[in-house]
This record gives sequence, C-alpha cells and structure tokens, in this order.
Amino acid sequence: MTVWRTVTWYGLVELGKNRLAVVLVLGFVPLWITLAHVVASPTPLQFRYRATGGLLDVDSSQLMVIMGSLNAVTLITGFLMFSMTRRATDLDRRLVGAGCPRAVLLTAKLTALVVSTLVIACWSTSVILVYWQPEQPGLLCLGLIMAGLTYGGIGIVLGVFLPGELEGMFTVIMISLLDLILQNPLVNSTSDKDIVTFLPSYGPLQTCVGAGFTDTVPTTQMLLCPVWLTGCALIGLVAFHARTRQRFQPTRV
Amino acid sequence: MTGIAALRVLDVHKAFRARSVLRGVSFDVSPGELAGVVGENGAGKTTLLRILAGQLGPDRGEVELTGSLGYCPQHAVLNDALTVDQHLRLFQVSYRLPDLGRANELVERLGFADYRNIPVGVLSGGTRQKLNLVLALMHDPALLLLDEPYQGFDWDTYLHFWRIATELSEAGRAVLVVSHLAYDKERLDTLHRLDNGTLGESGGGIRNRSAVDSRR
Repeated sequence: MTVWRTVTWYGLVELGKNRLAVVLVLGFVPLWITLAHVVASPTPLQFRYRATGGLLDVDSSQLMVIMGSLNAVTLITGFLMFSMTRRATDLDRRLVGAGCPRAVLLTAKLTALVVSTLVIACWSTSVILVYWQPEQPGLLCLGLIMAGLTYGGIGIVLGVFLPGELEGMFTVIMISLLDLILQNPLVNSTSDKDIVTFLPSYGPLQTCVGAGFTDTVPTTQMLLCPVWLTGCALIGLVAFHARTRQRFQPTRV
Repeated sequence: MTGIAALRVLDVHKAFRARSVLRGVSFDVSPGELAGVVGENGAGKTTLLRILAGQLGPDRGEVELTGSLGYCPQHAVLNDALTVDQHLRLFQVSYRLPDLGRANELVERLGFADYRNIPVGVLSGGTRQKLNLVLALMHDPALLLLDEPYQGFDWDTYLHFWRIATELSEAGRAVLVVSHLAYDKERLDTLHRLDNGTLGESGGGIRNRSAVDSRR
C-alpha cells in the first residue's frame, strides 16, 4: 500500500508540474468554449440522438460549445497521459528492476488519469455554465469525464508505442479532430451514419447532447466509454508488461 | 573471495537482426571482486550490461546471479519533474528499505545534499549522474553493475566514486564497471576486454591497493 501510495502521489505531483498542461487547462479550455459560443451563430440544427433514435432540434452555438469542450478535454487528457507514459518508460523499467510491482505503476497511471480527468471535466463544465444552462449539468460533466478517460487511455497506449512528443501530440490532435468533425452536423451532413458509433467520442458526445437538450440518459451509448477505456488499458497493460519485463530473476543461495 | 560467483555469465550471444553484437561471452565475478569490462565504442558493452541487468534477453547462453542487484545505467534514468528526495523515497519503497540511512550517507559523500529539494530536471549532468549512482547503491546490493558510472563527475567526485567502489568490494560486494577507457586498471582486480563480440582477459590480479591508496 505504501508503494502504491508513494508512486501514485509522485505521479500526481508530476502531472501538477506539467506547466504546458496547466496552461492549457486554465487558458485553452475557456478560450475554446468562449470562441465556440461567440463565433457559432445560434441557428437551429438537427442532431441524430440515438438514445431515442430520433432527430433532436438543437441550437448550433450550444452544440459548438459541447464540441469545443469535448475537443479541449480530449486533447489535454490524451496529451497529458501520452507525455506522462512516454517520459516514464525508462524509469518505470528501472523501478520494476528495483522491485516495484508493475501493477502498482499501471494503477498509479490510471489514478493520475482519473484525477486529472475529473479536474479538467469539472472545470470545463463550470466554464460552460457561464454561457449556457444545459438540462442536466451533472450528466454533461459525466460525458466530459467519459471523453477524458477514453482519450487518456488512448494517450497511454500511444505513449507506450510512439517515440517522441511531437509524434504523440500530432496523433492525439488528428484522432480528436477526425473523431469530432465526423460527428458534427455543422460540418458533416452525413454525421448520422452508423459508422460514427465506432468513434471514441461517440458515447461522450451522445451523453453531452442528451444532457444539454433532453431529460433522458443515453445508457447504451454511455456503456461504450468503459469498453474504450478497458480496451486501451488492456493494450497498454500488455505493452507495458512486455517493455518492463525482467528477463530473469536472480537465483538466491 | 568465496567459491560461489556473485555473477556467472555463460556463452552469451546477442544479435540485432544480422548484426552480431555478443558472440559467446563468458566470465564470472566473485563476491569481493572489483572487475572491469572495457571496449571500443559500439563494442557491445551496454548490450552486455543490459543483459546482465535482466533488461534484455540473450539469444543464447545463461546469466546466473546470486543475491540482490544494483544497476547504474550509462545515462541518468530519472524523472525530471521530481526532486532528489522524491527519487530516493520512490526507490526506498521499491527496494522496501526501512530507512534512507545508506542513501543519505551516499548523498553526503558525493556532495549533492544541497540539491535534495530541487527537481532533477534543472540539475547539472554531473549531479544527475551522482543521483543515478546513489539509486543503484542505496540498497547495498550483492552485485553492482555500473555502466560508465563517472561520466560528468569532477575529479573529487571521481575519487569519491572509486573509494566507495573499493569499500564495497572490501565489504564482500561484487562490482562490475564497464567503460570505454582502461584508465583505472590498477584499481581493478580483473579487467576484461570486449572486442569483436568476445571477451578476452586483459591482465589479471592488477589491483594495486597501495597505489590506489596513495591516490586517495
């Protein structure tokens, strides 16, 4: 327990010292949400809400606020976890050699992901509330948490496989952009096609839209978040296990 | 020295694709022995040490280790966001040490106690290397593997390093130092030369303890 507590605490300390991430959270999140609110015209728009199966009439500027906050949350958590995982690879291997259980290192990363996601999602929700009162603010926050967890999981996987910060940042940006553009009826007239259900932020977007404009809860779509997180965690676990494997144990006499 | 080797390396082979790096390396390091491996740049010294530390699997051959291991990698493996003290605490819980007595002593002797609360990302290369070394030594391992351990050290720290290494061997610990230079052969009991993937003895029983003492 002491090992887990110490490793986890230092993981959180490291996150807090990531100045770029702190600046992005404090500056980029409000900026993106504000611009989305100000720039998009408040015209009516139809959005395919799959919890009810019908088309939902939404305000396009409010939908842009949701899209902007999802974009900000996914970019920051994805990059944060990518950066944390990549930088720690060699030290993690050394700690495993020193006797630190790999499960401790991995659960410490997941804890850092959960804590950072909670902070960023709550902050984003409070910024959204400045401009707009959604039907279910708590559910909106939950949708953002789901997006953060999903992209944090993707960030961990990328951190194990990609060699540099630039590659990781570029990949996270590309995934997030494609993911949200394809589902945005403002820029994609065929955003209601079934293929979007396979995108990582499909569940979170459906949840946020349901929270913003209805009093329903899209339970089925929400269940996709744990699927994504578990899938990423499993891939990360296997890769992490392989990377930090000790080839032999000392024979003791 | 006893008859049981702290480290036994038997016919170790390693290739990266078509490039054969190690071609049948065999040697022992006994408790109390201060051994060295030298070789040109790219001779495979770091590959050998990573295999001995268990980070890399050999294609063929065996490595037998008796007791606990301390491994000091060539480049300081640290977390730039954490302080010196936080690193010590992290490795204390990993090694499951009851206290930091030995680590504190080493920090004092290597002369970087003033930097304990500073993030290692802003420390000089030499100070980072000192911490890198302390993390390998702090649990008093039975076998110590050191890969170019004194890169970036000033002269005093370099001398401190050899004093510590000598004390460890006198206390019965096995120490293997890998370097691309053979400056320090009079400080070693055994010196192996890694050349073309094989290991040759480069003189045995060469440690001249009185000569080393006179340089302290």
